[in-house]
Amino acid sequence: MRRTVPMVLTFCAGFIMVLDGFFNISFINGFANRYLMRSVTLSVAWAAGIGALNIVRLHVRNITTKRTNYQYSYILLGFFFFMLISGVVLERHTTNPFYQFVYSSFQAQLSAAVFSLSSFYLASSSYRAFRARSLEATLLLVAAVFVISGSVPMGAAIWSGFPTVSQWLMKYINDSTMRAFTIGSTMGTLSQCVRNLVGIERGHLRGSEGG
Amino acid sequence: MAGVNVPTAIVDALTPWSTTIGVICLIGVWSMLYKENPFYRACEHAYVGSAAAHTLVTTYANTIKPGIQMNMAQNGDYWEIIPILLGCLIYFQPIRQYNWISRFPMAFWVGYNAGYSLTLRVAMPLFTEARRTMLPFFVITDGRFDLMTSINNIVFTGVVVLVLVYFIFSRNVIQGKGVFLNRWARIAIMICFGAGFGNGVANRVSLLIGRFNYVLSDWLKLY
Repeated sequence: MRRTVPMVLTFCAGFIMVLDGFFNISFINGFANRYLMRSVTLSVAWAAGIGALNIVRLHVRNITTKRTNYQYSYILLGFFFFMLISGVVLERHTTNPFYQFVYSSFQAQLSAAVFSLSSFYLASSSYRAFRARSLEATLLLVAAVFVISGSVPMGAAIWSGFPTVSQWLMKYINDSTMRAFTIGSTMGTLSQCVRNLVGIERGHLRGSEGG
Repeated sequence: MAGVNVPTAIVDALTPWSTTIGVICLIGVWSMLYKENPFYRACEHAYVGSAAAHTLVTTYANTIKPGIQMNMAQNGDYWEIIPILLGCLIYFQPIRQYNWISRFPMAFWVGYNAGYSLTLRVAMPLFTEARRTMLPFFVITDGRFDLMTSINNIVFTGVVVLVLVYFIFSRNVIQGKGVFLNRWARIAIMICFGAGFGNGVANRVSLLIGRFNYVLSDWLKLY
């Protein structure tokens, strides 16, 4: 019951999608498009709260047990409930002017600040990575220098060939290697999907006792 | 369900402070560059809390509410209760005694995505990518042999084949003179990583410039 039913559910849901993709059977196509896709969208949407629930549980526990730095949990829970309540209760939800103000002042700005912070770390990692210790490391350094110089106006001012070399590297070396990665990873994904469907791979059914 | 509204006067009074609040958040996050401090930790926690809430609000506004209001109440699609209940079973996950129930929605999603991937999402791009790799080695443009395009096509296809060989066949399989294939593949991969890294640096720097622009132009109005 605890493992067999989920495995049957996995197989049925996947098999219907495979039939829908490869065969022109009106009943299957209709069922997949009308019910199955909508079911996934709805069930995922209603399950979205599990992550938030886990965050709230963790931080409520931090506060009740007064763990180290538990004061920050008040800030997290405060922002969480303030934005959640204002987003759900207010008229027009995410497009409400007040919610827009809260979103653009806090969430959007914090997000942009956190992502821009990574450029400082990237600079420090460049310092460590760009050392010509071997042929491969030298090639990495040279390719990066050409691409960076080709993407900024100053590079083109130093040597007009930088943008051309940069574009060539991106188009013929970077794209081709990434294409090989894509083909390889896609083949891996396909085999993983088949293993999931036929029940060889059961990682998603772990996490509790019983069989 | 009619929602409540915050008076326009309050929103209008708060709006001019938006940029200042944004700059305070920026300073808080960037203060991490000096060392870990309470201001940064506060901003970090505010970010996690607001991001989690925003995800929930977006899901509610775009999927849950229209599903209940339009599909169920107006169109009478009451069958949607079944997937809703299935999705809600995931909430048994934190309850140790009953967390096996949370396998049901998980099994459904994994099965659906596996089936979908086998047909459209993954398999089709694979064929498209493979076909786009098969470029002509002898390109004739306007009745004349195009040397540069031919060399570029050979380089492109050669790199794809080399990298695929490198990943599919390990060193143990390719021995003797075949090892040089691995070396060329590694060279191509390192150039790719270098180019990708350079591109990443350029993108991140543009984000950084955007933040400086925000402080100097939007907040301080220097230009």
